[in-house]
Amino acid sequence: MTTFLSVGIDVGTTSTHLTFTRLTVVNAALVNQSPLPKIESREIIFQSPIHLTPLTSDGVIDAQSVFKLIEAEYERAEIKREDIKVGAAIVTGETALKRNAREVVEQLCLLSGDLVAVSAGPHLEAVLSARGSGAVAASAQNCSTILNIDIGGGTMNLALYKNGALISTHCLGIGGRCFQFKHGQSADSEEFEVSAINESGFFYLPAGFKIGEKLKCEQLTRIANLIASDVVDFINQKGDDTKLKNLPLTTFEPDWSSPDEIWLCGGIAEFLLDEKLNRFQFCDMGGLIADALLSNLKTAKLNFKIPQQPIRATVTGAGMYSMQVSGSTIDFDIEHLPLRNVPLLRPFEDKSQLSDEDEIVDRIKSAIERIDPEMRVNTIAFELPSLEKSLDYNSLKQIAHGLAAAAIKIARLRPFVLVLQEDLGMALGQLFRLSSQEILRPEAEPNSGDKKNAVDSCPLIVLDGITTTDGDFIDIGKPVSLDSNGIARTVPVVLKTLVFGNP
Amino acid sequence: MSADSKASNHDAADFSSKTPARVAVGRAGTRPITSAWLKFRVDHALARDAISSELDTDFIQKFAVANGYPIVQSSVASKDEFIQYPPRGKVVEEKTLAQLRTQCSSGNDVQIVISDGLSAKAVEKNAANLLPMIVDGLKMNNISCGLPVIVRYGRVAVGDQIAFALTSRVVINLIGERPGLSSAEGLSAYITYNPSPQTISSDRTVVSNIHERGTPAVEAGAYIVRLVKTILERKVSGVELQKLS
Repeated sequence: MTTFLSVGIDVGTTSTHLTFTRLTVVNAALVNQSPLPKIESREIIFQSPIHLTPLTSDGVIDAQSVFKLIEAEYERAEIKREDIKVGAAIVTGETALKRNAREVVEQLCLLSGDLVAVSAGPHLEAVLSARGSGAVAASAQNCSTILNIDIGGGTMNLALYKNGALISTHCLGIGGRCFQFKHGQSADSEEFEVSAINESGFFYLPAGFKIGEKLKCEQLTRIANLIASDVVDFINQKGDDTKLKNLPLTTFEPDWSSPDEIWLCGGIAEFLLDEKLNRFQFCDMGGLIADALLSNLKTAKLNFKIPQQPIRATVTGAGMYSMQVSGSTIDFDIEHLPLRNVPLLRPFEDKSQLSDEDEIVDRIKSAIERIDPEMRVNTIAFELPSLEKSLDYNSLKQIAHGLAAAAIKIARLRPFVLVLQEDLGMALGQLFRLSSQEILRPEAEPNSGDKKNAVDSCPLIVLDGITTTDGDFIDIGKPVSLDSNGIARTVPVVLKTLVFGNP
Repeated sequence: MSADSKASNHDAADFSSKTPARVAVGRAGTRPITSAWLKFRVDHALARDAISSELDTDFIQKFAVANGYPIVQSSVASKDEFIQYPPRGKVVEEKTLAQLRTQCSSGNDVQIVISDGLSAKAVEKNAANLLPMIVDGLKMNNISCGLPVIVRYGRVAVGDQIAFALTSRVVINLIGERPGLSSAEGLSAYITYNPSPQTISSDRTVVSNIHERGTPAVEAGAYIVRLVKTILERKVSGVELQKLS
């Protein structure tokens, strides 16, 4: 049994907060079976208050202040940076596109322990929110289809799960901050002066509307209703011509399945838990959109649910669920771990492309050239396509031989990192090492095999049991033992998406 | 009453995809639907067949004879005797040991024994993928390994006696598992440090459920190499090895 301290940090358009979680990894295999590492429990040990995201006077995130705020929460929780082994800090929603998001991410990196994924992007946020809200667990438990909508200031991030498995994620480029009002106006004001409008906001405002002009309360309600009904149309997969489609941050995935339940999370869902909350508390459209969404969902007779602490869904997901553990029967050269921000490529579409050595080498080469034409990156991970679990010795050896040939030809890739889903990591590792020995020293008597030499010539990391439905980069932590013999070992893995190109 | 009330809701379908057990097969009145009942009968018959199965001559030819692996028989004369008198499958006769001493090299780190046990099918299905993984891996780790020996009508303990005769430090007995209703093709590896006729069950480390839906044979092979390496370093196997962990 091993425990990890994990952190989840969420820097959103409106709010910034964090949680610390203790994760316990155990060997879940039955006696006599090969070890099976599993994250057994996730316990929240600290939650920070919700802070307003500090902005500079020109509306950009104040990276220094965010850093100080987070640092103060570490102190309050009495947690040292080096105690944190995993987790994710994410700059979410529209904030991710703000021009200094990169600076914020770099600042947050300074706070990281051994392995903290720093990422941004609506896909990851959608997934983490669905995990953190409990929607994924409920979908698995009840065998139902759940659409988790995380409504933030800038975007609505949707994740659709069926029986606990992700079907698709979607991002609707609209949130509570589509436009903002001048401070000092109260809920019973008749008119509201609009002080800021983001790109999406213009889509829903009357044509020619300018900052500084005023809107009546009924107009605001009507706009909130328009937004909400577009969202409900999207959920019903109707109305392809809604404004939503044209919003700057909107992305749809084609896969869809009608949800049995809709879970509402994110800061805006907080309004739905408390009718008395001032709808204009944040001087934006958040409260009105929340109410409009609720009534539109009711009218459309869709089942919905608001989890506890909806604003914390993403951060809870980031702290608890960003990490996976690899299988225990894997193969790695320990001196090369941990690895961070390793680009993850998928050079093969299916296993038929692994049958010919030259094709393996060519595909790996061209995949690298596409992302790194200047040959600057020295560690790249390759995800293999789904293999048969019943793969025979000769077929696996052929695959391993092709991969070893590629690793040797592309000498700058050290270590050579392979990721696969099936429980074949250790076997592939062994055959890869054998093949690279054969290629490098064909004249050598195989059973005089000097392992040290072979290791020097091509260090290797093979992970299995990892599901990578998406993710462009992978962080691989130091191995942890589940027993003192070191037979059962696993490595923590975090998959992430970065929106700013090269890490 | 509906003649076919096969469970059709998606809950059950998803549930049954997670286990090979016979859940949510549907019912007709008080009994399972005919197709589920027939499937049960088929699986039961497969399990029974696996127990009475003999190593196929074609397999023996391609796997054993072609590679020069010695094939011996435990002290029983027939499959029936093997089933009726379990202890007789645990030993080979002295003349067989004498024959092995001349055919195989002695004093190796590892001796591999392959026994049909209670499922010759398990051996036929997995040995060709498992054995080369183990042999490759031992070589790469400079662990010496004698010629694998194939035992007809063998039980687990037969490996200890053979390895003792060949003075090996470790024995790996790859043996067909007692078939169940979800798999008749499972293989186990029993690994013992300092094997001898006095070896008892708690001295053995086991890797079980080596089959398509359990641990794949190739992966089990690489894992067994790692276990053998640890066992040789720690000079202990079985429960004592677990105690160290």
